[in-house]
Amino acid sequence: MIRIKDVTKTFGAIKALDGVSAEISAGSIYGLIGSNGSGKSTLLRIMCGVFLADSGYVEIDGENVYENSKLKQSIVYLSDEQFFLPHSTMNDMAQFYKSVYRSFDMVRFVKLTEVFGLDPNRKIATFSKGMTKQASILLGLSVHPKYMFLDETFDGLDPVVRQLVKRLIAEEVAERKMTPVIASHNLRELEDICDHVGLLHQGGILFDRELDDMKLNIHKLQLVLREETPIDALSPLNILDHSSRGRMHTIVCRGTTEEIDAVILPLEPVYYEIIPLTLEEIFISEMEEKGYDFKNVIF
Amino acid sequence: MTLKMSFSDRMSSRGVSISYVSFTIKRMWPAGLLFFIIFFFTMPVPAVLSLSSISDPITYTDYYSSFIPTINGIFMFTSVFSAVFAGCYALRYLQSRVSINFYHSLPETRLSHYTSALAASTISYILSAVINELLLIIVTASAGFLKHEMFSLIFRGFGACAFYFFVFLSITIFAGILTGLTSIQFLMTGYLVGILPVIYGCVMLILDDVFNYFDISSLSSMNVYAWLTPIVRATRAIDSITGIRKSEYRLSYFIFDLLIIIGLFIGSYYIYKNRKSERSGTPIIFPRVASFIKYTLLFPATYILGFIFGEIGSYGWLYFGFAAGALLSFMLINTVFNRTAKAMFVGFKGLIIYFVLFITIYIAINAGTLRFIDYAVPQASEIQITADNRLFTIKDKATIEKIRDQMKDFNKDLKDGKAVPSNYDVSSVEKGLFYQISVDKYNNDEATRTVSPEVTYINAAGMKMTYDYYGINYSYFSEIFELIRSSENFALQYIPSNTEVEEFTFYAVTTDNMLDDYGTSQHEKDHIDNEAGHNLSSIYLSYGLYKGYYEDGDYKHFDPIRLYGAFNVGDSEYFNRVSIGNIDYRVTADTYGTSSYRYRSNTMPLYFDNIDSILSLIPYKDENSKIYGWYGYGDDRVNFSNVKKFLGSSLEDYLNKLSLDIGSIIIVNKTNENMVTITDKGDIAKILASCASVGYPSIISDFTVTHPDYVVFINYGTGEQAISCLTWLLADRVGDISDIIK
Repeated sequence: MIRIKDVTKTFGAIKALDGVSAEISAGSIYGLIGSNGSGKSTLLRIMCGVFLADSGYVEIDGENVYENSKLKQSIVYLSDEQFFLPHSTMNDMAQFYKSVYRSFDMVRFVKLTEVFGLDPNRKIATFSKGMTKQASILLGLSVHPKYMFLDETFDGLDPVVRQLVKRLIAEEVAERKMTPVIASHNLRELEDICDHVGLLHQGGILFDRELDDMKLNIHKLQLVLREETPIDALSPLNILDHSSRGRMHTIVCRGTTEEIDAVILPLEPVYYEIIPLTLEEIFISEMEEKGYDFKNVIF
Repeated sequence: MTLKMSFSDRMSSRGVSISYVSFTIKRMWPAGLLFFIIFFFTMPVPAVLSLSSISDPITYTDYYSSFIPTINGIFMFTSVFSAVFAGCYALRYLQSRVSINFYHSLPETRLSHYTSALAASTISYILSAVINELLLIIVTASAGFLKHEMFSLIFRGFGACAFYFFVFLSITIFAGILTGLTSIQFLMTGYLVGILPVIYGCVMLILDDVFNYFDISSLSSMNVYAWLTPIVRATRAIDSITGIRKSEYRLSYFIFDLLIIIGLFIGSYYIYKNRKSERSGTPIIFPRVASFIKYTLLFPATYILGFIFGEIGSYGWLYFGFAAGALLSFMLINTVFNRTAKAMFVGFKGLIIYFVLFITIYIAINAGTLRFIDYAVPQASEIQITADNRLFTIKDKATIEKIRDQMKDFNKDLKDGKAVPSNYDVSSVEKGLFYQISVDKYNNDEATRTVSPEVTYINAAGMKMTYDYYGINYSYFSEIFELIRSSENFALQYIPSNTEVEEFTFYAVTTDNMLDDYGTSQHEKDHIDNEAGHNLSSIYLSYGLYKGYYEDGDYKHFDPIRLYGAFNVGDSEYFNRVSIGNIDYRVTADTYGTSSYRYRSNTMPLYFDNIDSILSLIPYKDENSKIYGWYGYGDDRVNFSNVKKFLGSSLEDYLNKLSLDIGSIIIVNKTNENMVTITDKGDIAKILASCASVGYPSIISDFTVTHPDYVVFINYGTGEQAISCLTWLLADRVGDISDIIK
């Protein structure tokens, strides 16, 4: 379990993190979202012991991570900018990881290089941007870490590889209870893998919730009411957003399907359908409800 | 349950991972390879080339006394380079945001990273150096030159170079921890090594510039710089240890540098622990350090450019140079520190404050309103006051006070040389003390006779500040000498020709070989035992070739002290003689107090043109003596028990051996060109009692204790064997012999 408590970090006059607190349960896939400069990378670097928080602390499994080499044996951090030893090949890097991580699995490394189709004897400096990203991911996965911090990891990956990586991460979570924390500014990349999300904005976490809870409790409806049914009949719904085109109403509202049905079905609408919301739509709704202009937060 | 831990586990538990350290060491191979190549082409390869030269084969002496010391000197240079390169190479992971995110996210502590960097740097150097040292030894051995002393020389050279490798490595590592870019780390290393001597030099230049009589040489000796930069200490170490030339390397330097190594290695680690990873990639990690560096660089840059422009002439150019130096260096430093020219004026207010402060202090010093130097002169009671021109000593305060009073008048009579600042008045230097007068300029022309005394003040730190007065009219100065002569402490430094010698020791000079040039001289004393020394000294004294005089134009000067000049030979012949050792002498305690320092002791090299007979008497004390290999003698030296003749060992004995009587004395009156020849023994005795010592320096004779009108020639022996020595009549005794010299 990762506990982040009142973490503050400033870079000169810039306050990158301002009293950030969060808890990430073991075995969950945590999506850390936020716009550029919101403090995602800084928080990840504090979580993996690269940076020291000015105040507050990060505990992983009850231990402070900074300068804790024993704890860090179970942590892999994949930066948004990959670093490899100069003039090294994948095999060189594997040897390096093996000298550093006791849990580094050479068999898995070989297998993953085959899966990703990377030549282990080729100089990494000759790899494309996407290939270097793959290289860092497969090296990290070969460690079998308990915690994996991924910073904008899916950027630069083609859709096939992206899905492959997501699958591998999901496997690690399922089989080894790995806890990945994935930082990204792209909501669409996280919605099909994360089960928990936190939104960082201006150095603080605005939002921290289970994705399923969010999806279960917010819905998008499309319905056409009978002519004699007044629009006020929908007022029992906890409406977050309402738009209409002709007699077709599109409503985003809070509540379970049962609660919504209990309001809508007695009205005997001409047409009624509950449409699943994307993560992005959920965030838009949630944030607008909190009074934020969501487009300025995420995009 | 007993839990067994491997060494690796134990080290890991203390924060150092052995596997990580060993991997880092392996990754240092490019640096190690570079060092190996450099050492290879500067150590074994030149040795092979030198030894394999058929037309001009190198001798053991050349190899020992010249080649290996040169190799060691180069090795010191390459070691310093290696230290800086290794330090930068090993810490390059710290100097990039991308790499530091990677390395510091690894399950390694800062201690582990730091230890790895140090170990990798050290091993890459040591391994390369040791292999090449071994190759050098093998090459040396293959030529048959690997003797004990040769091995010792190589080993000592390696020790000195390795030691200073660590000194410079610790500085480079320290620089690396303070900086966030490798290029800046390199520059910072240069800054740490060089800033103190640069600032000190600038301060000296300012003092020299502002205080016309400030003697820069008294404060800027290499001894001072040796404390300010390890470059000088490293140079002295290798010079001293490997004997390229005699050099002052002190134990205190070693201790100081050892403390630097320990202090910087430990200090760097603790700074590293507090070093913010996010600052990597920025030139200077700690903003306060950046400010400190900026302004310590601004100072010399400001002054040096001002100094350059000031050479054009006017004060306007000087201050323009100051402004240009401050502004340009400020802009340059800001650009480097911020990596963009857009930031060249960041902190401009600070520059303005600095420049106003600089100019204010400079003007204040120049105007004499800030006399911190003069104020630093201690109280009279705190100094041992002397007026000393090396021939007389004044200790009583009353006389010194009088001298000080006189000195203030000299300011008004300065004729040439540097002008005294208008606001400078010796008498106003309340804590200043008249310490030294030496006369170094003298003109025979009475009308323009001037003297140039020095006045030395000592500040609280014991530092000497010497003010030179040029061209003071002799008439003013003569009063000073009257004061000196009237002092109860005044003692005429007069050395009678039969001065007793208390100590007269011989020591061999290990590799002194005058056949080549001065550069081969070494003065490592290798005292032989007393009996051998006495015997050899005696042989020297009895040797027929020495002569107790030296020639100066048409004159032969008798000078028992200047034995080193006692050869009536030309330069080429002189240098073709071989010095086999030195003789030290020291006058007796009774004579010591009344002798000028220059006569109290001396060292005289022994030269013989028939060297073989003497060399055969020099015993081999140990293997070290075999460095006389040039002479080609084996171990079958003649034992000193074979020496039949013992002729004594003192200078007095030597003088007695001359067996020359004074035949005549000629006194020349320069004023009326009258010459009197005295042969009467009684008159000769009176004249001798009224003369200054033979060899008495003529430089002060005319205005101190001797009469300016008379020159005395004392002739020892007769005919062609006669030796003349020059001296003067004591001024206050001329009256006693007026009837003889009339």
